[in-house]
Amino acid sequence: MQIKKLLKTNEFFLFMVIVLFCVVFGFINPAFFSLGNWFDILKSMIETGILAMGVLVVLISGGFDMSFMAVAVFAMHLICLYFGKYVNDAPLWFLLLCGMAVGMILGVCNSFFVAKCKLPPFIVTLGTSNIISGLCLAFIGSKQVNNIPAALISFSRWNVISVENAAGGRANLHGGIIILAVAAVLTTILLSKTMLGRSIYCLGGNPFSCIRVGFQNNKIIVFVYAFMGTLAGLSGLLHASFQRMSNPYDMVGNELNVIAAVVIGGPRVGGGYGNTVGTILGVLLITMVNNSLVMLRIPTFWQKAVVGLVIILGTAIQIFRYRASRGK
Amino acid sequence: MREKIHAVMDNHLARLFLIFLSALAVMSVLVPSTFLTAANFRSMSVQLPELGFLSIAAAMVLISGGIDLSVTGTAIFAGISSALILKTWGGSGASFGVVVLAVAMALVIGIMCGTLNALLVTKLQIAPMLATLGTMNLFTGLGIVLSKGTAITGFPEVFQRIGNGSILGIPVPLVLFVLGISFMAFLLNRTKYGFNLYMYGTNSTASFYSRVDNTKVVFITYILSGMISSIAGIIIVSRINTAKADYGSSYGLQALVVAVLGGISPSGGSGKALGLLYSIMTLQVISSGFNLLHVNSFIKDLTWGVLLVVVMLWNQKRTGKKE
Amino acid sequence: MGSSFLEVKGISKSFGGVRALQNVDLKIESGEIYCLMGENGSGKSTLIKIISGVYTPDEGEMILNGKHYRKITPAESIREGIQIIYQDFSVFPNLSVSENIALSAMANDKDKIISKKKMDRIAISALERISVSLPLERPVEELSVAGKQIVAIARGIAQDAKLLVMDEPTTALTHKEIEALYKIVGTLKQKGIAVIFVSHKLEEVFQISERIAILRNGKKVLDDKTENFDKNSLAYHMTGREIPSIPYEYIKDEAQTVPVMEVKNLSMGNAFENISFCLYSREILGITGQLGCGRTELAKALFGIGKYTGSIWVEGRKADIKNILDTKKYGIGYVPEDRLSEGLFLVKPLTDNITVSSMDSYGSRVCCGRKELTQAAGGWLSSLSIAAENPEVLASDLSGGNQQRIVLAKWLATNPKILILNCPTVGVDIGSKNQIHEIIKDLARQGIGIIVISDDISEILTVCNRILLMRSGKIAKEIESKDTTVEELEEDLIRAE
Repeated sequence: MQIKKLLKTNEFFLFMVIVLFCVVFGFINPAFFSLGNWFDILKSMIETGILAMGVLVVLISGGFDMSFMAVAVFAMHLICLYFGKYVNDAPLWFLLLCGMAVGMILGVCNSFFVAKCKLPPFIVTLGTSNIISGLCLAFIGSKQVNNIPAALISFSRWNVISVENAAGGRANLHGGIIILAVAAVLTTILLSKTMLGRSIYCLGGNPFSCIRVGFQNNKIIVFVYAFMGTLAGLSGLLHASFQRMSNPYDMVGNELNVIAAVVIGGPRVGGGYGNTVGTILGVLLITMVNNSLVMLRIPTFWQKAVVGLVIILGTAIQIFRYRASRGK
Repeated sequence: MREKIHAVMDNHLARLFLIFLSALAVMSVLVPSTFLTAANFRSMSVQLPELGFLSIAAAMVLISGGIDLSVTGTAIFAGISSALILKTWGGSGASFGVVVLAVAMALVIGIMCGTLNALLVTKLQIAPMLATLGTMNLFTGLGIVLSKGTAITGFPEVFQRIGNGSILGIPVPLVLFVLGISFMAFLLNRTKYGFNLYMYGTNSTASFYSRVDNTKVVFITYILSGMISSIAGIIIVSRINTAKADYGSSYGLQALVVAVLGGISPSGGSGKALGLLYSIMTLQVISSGFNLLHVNSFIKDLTWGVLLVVVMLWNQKRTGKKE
Repeated sequence: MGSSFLEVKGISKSFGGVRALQNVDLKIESGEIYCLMGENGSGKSTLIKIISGVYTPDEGEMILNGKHYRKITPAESIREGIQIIYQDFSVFPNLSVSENIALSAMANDKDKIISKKKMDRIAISALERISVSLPLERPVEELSVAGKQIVAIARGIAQDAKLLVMDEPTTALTHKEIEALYKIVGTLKQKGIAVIFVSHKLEEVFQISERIAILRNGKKVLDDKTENFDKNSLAYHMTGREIPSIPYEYIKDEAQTVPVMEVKNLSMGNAFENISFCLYSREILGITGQLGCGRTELAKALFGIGKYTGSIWVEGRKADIKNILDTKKYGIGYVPEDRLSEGLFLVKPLTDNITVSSMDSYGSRVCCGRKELTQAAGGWLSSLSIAAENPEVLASDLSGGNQQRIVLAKWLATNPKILILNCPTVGVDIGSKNQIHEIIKDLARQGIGIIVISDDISEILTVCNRILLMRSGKIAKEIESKDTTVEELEEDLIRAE
């Protein structure tokens, strides 16, 4: 009974699609199954995955955030510039914490417009995205920072698994995957096991009932955007670490790619649905497709078109499955 | 008198016009020697239409209660297609017939893109935001595929004139834009399609039960949006004599900002062409003024963001009072 | 006599100069079933919102469990045991049954972490207390309307409700479901829980309540034991006037040989089957039956919504109706049930609302001028005596009765031969209701064939000359209005299937 239910879920379906892709990719190029390739895919998932957790929570609440990349860059650039210059030897945990704090503050600012002013989240965060990246470039700096805190540099070299492969090279799994795992587990617990998490589903499911039942909608909204901001700050610093520099023109403009990955994982626009498993699978699918085109000897310029196709098919199939389940 | 002022402030269009005038005044005072010159106005009128057309495209879909994120994708795809035709049949020496073919091709691509969006939204019932998020990637991606990620350059003089020429001293892009926005105003105010569009955008269930052909309204809207976007694509390619997939990609969200600033409600059913015109002119004045002031482009972004949020708050406050 | 649980004393409330409630007193004992009646705008919902703490009264006080409250917050109201079951039930479609029931109770306990065990325990015990069982893991969106209502009631019980306020709870229920609801209410009473039943259905208040209070124009006009009322006196007290109901007299047009609409063997999935009937012009045909009998689906099918088999003939010719747009050439109009979401464009002017369906008749093929539309709309405002300053007023500014007239005007502007009205007076107060009935009769006299779908027996009997009674998707009976009475028809309606 339990298994039958599992087979019907969206996540299982997504998983099967991923398996199918793997089989096809592996058939075309067996190197796809190499450890090195999988470690690369996992590493590429880190930034997107962390952001996706935040986007998921915002989408479940029925909101939208277009400013998280700007927030990530803001936190990244601020921390890298100042700590790089003045406290270059700050420990990693402190840097990440500061990044998250900066992100959280910006997230709270976003929530002010959504909760207090009742402005439509998509458009207003589009506005705040402009403001945040404008502030960053104007007042923090518009030049690339190479002198980023030492801890971030050394973090970029931290591998949790390092295996020698047949060719004599090494396949490394970056330690950032642990941070993603922790973020995913915490988000899962938040969403499924805490009153706060369930109230986010309530808000997305029916905001009017949410008030009537006694939840304070505005508090939930503040939390949701603050959560998004916090994760954005974190992923900003990880980005700087991976790049070993802080470029304020990075990331911004790629919001929709993250949102696309999340959306494939199941949440509906309007809120109330979605979970972390689906989101991680969505991120995995998109990352896999993105990373593997080269391996399949498909020119990289096909990448965007293929991703677009995956998004369209992904959402269309979800709707067909939803309709089919309704029809029964 | 005071009441009159209040009445003006209550009217979104009047308010927008005031904002436009003040932007114009501020820039004229700050950089009188360069701002108030024919050359500056000429360059403004050449720059404005590109974003202007994309804003019209975005605005039409917003009025229908949907959202079109794929306008730049369409523009890029259409622009590169036409560039490819020009390149294949003669490059800078291509004949007039080829130019016509290229332009027609771009328009056809725009129409096809719009049709695909409309199909996804009506037949598959995918939420417009997700559908156009997908097609944004798809169209841009197809543009990249066609151009193999490189820049295509060198077009005949006739083609370049679309972006750089002038008629009676007025830049061609501006002429086209004026035609475009007048066409939008005509559609919205005078035609039955415009009437139905507003009704559909206000309440699509009620319009369904009122025997409005909802599917037709959505198709016309997205097809118009695609076609208008492709015009923007042609102008961009022609003006810079180059087609490349990342030109203009930042316009996509900006077009939405312009539309919302212009008083087109993101929840659908309202908005006027005139508001859009004021909004795009205001942004152009600010952005050109900043250029002349040698202020960095990111201050421009900042100003846009602030303006958007402030105008939304202002609208909110005014409508909130009425309730 | 039980102890008084809630006492409301001298409550007044005004909104911007309009007095919504004036000096209202109310006293509810534990375990009492109390009916609150009144037309739309009589102040019922304002009173509920004051009790639940949403509004603060301008004057007066409330005594709850012996405690005096000058004003009460929503949280205090819940803590004192007051639970409102809203018309839309305020459930969360995306969450499971047990979450819906238990979450608020757990939030009241200040639980930060969700214990699945505790949640299920709360849900099970709440459902047991009203003697119902529901699948706990099922998402609520998959439940029927009645199921959602039970979830909402159980949620109130789980929060130790001592008073449940039910706002028009039977509106969307079938007869069987209503019976089940009455049973639940009975169980609640035994457990000492008081129930306020807000309703305007005369039939049901007699069946369920022990005490009835009537509000009119913000004042309490009557408050007495149920046995001291009868139906006519109730209607009189609610409206403050006697309402003459003159049944519709159908005068056959002798020149007419073919019916304006004929339906032959119409079937649709499991909604209805083998429906055949004729409709002549000048006729008002009533279709009635319990919720779920297929009446709404039938009405929609005649308007091109849904796939059906069988045939529809208009004026002797077979009509090819596959979608709504096809109904245009046959002159069929449809006034939907839910005026606010399906019938009106609230934020648009009356002009747009009235002319939207008849755009073909203005201007050229592509264009039309605003002036022409405003003129046409103005004509309809005066001919249907709609109280609006001018056609540029927004539809949201009108009262329910006037709004319904706007929807009627929209279809009359299309010059229809056949008009299908689905529950034309739902949510309209009794005064406007009669006026709308008069308009409908007038239209029929002018030669339109009208179908009225309604479960309001007295409405059907006054408005229609012929009635089709539907049961489980079939026509169970065809009756001439003059040959039956309210009681007879009611019995036919609720007879076990």
